[in-house]
Amino acid sequence: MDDRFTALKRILTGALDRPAAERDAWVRAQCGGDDDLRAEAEAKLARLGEDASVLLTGGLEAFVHTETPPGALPSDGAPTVARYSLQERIGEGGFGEVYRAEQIEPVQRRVALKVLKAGLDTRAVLARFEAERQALAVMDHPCIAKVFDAGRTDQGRPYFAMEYVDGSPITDHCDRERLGTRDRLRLILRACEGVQHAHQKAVIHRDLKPSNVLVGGADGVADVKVIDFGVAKAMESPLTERTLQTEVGQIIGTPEYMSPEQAEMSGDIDTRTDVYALGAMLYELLTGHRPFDTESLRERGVEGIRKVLRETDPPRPSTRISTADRQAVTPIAANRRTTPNALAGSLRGDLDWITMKALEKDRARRYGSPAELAADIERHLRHEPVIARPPSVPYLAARFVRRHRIGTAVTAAAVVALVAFAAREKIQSERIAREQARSERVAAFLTDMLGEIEPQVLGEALWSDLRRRVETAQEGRAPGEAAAALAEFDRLTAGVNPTDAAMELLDREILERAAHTVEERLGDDPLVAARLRSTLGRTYRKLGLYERGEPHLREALALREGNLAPDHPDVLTSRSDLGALLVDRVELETAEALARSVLEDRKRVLGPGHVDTYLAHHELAHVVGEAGNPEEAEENYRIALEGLRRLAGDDDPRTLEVINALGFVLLERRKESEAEELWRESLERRRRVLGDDAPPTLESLSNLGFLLQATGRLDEAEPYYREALDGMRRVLGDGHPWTLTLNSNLGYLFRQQGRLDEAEPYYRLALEGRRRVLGEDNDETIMAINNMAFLLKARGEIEEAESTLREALAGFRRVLGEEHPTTLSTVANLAFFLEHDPERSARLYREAMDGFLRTVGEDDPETHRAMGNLASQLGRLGRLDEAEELFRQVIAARARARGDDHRLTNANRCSLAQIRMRQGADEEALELLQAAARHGYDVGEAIEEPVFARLRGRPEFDALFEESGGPITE
Amino acid sequence: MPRPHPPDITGILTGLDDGPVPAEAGEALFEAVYEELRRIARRLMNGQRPDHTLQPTALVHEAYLKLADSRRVPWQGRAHFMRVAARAMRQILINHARDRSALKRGGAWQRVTLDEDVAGRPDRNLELLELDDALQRLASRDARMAQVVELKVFAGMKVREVAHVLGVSPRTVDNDWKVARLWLTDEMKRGGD
Repeated sequence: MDDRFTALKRILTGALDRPAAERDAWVRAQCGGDDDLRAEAEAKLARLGEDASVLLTGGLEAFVHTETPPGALPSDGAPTVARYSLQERIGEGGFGEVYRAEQIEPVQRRVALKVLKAGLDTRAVLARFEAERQALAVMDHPCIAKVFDAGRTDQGRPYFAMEYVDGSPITDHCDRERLGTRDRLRLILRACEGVQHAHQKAVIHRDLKPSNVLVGGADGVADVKVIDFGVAKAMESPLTERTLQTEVGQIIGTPEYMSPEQAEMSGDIDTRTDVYALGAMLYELLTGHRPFDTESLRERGVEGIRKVLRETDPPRPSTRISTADRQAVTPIAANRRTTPNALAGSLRGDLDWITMKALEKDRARRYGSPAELAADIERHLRHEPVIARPPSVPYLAARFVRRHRIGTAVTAAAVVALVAFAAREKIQSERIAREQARSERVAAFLTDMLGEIEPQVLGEALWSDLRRRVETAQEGRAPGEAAAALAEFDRLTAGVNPTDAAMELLDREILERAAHTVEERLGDDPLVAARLRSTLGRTYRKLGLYERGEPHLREALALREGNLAPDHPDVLTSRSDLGALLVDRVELETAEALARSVLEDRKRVLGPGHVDTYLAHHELAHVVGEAGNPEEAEENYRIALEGLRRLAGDDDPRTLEVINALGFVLLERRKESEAEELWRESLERRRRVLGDDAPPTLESLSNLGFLLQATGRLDEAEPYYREALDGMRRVLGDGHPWTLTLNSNLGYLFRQQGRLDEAEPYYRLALEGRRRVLGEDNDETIMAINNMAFLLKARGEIEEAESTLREALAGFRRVLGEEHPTTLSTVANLAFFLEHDPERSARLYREAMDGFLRTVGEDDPETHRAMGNLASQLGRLGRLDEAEELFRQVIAARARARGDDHRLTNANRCSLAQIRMRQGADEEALELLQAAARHGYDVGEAIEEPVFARLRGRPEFDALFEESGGPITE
Repeated sequence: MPRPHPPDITGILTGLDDGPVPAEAGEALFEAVYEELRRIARRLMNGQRPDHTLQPTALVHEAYLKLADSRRVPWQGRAHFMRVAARAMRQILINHARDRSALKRGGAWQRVTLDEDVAGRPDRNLELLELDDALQRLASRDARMAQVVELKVFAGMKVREVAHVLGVSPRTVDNDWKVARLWLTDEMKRGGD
């Protein structure tokens, strides 16, 4: 083998393995000083993509092809085109047909051949196409399908050969994949990019519509390709330009996406015509309807169409949804994985305005280019203010104030600086440790930074910053590649919750390091250390990471207690902080004692009418409420509320927090309407003052949902939950306790509505989330497991339900103890699950019953429940005497505790009657039934039991039928 | 070449692991394959509809089935057959192209097209001859690469099949093919020095 050739081969192989941008450099490096070698390598590489055709087709094709006589008409009437081999017809319309074909020369590839129908002036069409050819040839964008060629078929019809796109119209794709609104927006962005590129090459599409905007997958990634560029213009002739119709009377073009100026047929088209069509498609993607209805358009004829497009305004997208017939719009919402109400809500505002601006009849008021439209859509996706929206102070204020609520906006740069700062501190250890003033500055700096952290803003800022960096790195690449890289970035990060990412980052990079800095550097000044630890602890609490925060707060408290007077406000604050965190972690005893002592101290030091004292009332109310003392809780809340309304005002966040908390207690004490009133007030105020996405607002939304759910208004509850959940995931992250609670609630809501399939994913989310954040040994986690078990049972998955419930039971035993009411209830629940196995079920009921008797006594409803169920099971097992004794016991107990008239007391009477029948004591059985009936119980169903057959014919028995509403039909 | 009796193709192919093919047997094999392929190709010429994409592998496969008892032939035998068939196909096509070149220019019809390289539309037969030349030059520098090209272009095989026939990895074949295309195209378009 030739050495020189070997070297050349090696270089070429290596070059082909590298990305295009790196090739030249690599070749140069490999060739060293050998110019000849380099020249040869470069010459060969220059042939990339230019393969001699015979290499690709082999000789055989031509071998046969050149033998075929020319102008042969195929027998089945299909068109034939030189150099192409038609495979299959894939579409047709007023213009002609489209075929999938294989091009044979000069390049072998798959194409789409659009063959126009006969009768068009072929020469004119081709000439017009030729005029556009130059521009078309230089278009190079991943979202544009290339047009390769035009010519005549063997039969004389004009054809266009275009890049073959294996995909479906964008509307079909979105519906089939059930893409949500944001994903649809991302796809339309791609279409805008492609059209924008064409506009920059001075090519206007003129016939944009869903069937020309295809979404196809290549390598598993779906992307948009706009097809038919240049075709529409070529097809238009001076003749048809004056009318919308052909001789046959059919409307040319697709009036549904046609802009008003196009309908005028004056020939005065510009780039904004394409913007209009994009707007119409956007409308359809968002609402499932076109802006103007097909039938109503076409039946009006040409003049009618012009009039409608010129004068009538289509309804706004959100209005289109909210005013539509529910039957019709539910499937539309389902195709976007949401419900009609939620859909209308998400369209209201930004998306309404963007769509309507794109559909403006007056071109001057439309977006000037697809790029402008795309930019506004992107702003919406990033929660920035959109241009389309009329600027009004509340809107702008809400957006900007939220984003800049931190005194100095925390950008990624600042984050990095902070980390670097902490790192540098380590190196310059000695000097800093000795400089008191400097430590103060460090402490102040860190406190300022940490105190204002908003994970959501930080997350978004990080994302934006990173994206900007990716964008900058693309400089120097071809525009197509740069766009692709950014699109790739967006795709990759779409699944990442920036808030979660930010939180992890915060914890790991900032807070951890800050903690170390504090430990190592600032041990000398306890008060500075205490301040920092307080901040850290509070930050951790805000992030929901209680385990991490507690040691810091304890340490802060210890430091302050050790270095300040016990009355010092900072000491009280630390106690209060710790208490708050502990409450959140459900360690109530310590929290309660702390809260009481804080209140007393503040009353003493600051006086009863001080804001901070009222806040202490609030804290105490919170704690005792959790501890199960609603009266004291309500009392303290009311004191706090009255005081704060007076001193801080109705809109003050602290006042609203008290309102929020008071509502819960009222709910517990069955004062639902007052609770609802308060919560609606709180929601309205919070929305107005803090904005839609502020955590307190989300809390209010969630609470109202909960109230509606608790009072049985399930349908009303759902939209509140959904809005709250959406916001929480965005703002607090998927792992935050609130998000988890909401997942749980929403799941339970669905379960109540019987929507078990929809419920399950939420249950799982809640469960997984709790496991992750709170750990296995937290009673909320175990409760989530418990709930899951019930869901599974409802769905009929008995075995899994049983094992899940056992898991929950084991958990409760571990965490709450054997004798805790919740544990015992779970034992009873397990017995309930196992009722198909009366032996085991009975044993479990007995265990539960014994436990209840020991702990809560004979008069507790839980005890009765266990007792009654046990008795039933014993009855099924045939242990009649035991069953009899137990039923008597429970009847007596229930009668005493709930009354003789209570439904359950009398139900038990009927059950006992059955037992007595089986024991042969007919008389007493009858008496029992009569007693039940006398107490207002509907015995109708009970007496149909076969066991009572012997009693039929007895007048007293038959009388029972009449009382219960009529005889049974045999 | 006079052949008193038809050669035992199966025998030749099965006997391969006994050692290299003896010259006469190799000749006989080649002749047989050549004949068969030519027969098949001519059949195509007469009745072929332009809609159908032609697959050289189909021809080769048909010839193989006709000539050898595939149940008895081990894989080395089949691989050998393919190499021979590719060579035979090449021969057929080159011969045909030579004939056509000689006859050229008379009765060729013009197709009206707006294709931009109307002037440079390749003369397929000429190209074939140029390829043959360039391929011979390649073979003297890198025999395996030339083999890869022959199998792919004239027998229409896929990379994996070629790898199997040549006993190398598909990666090797892929690299060879990519580089060969560059080299041959450049050689052909330059007119060869």
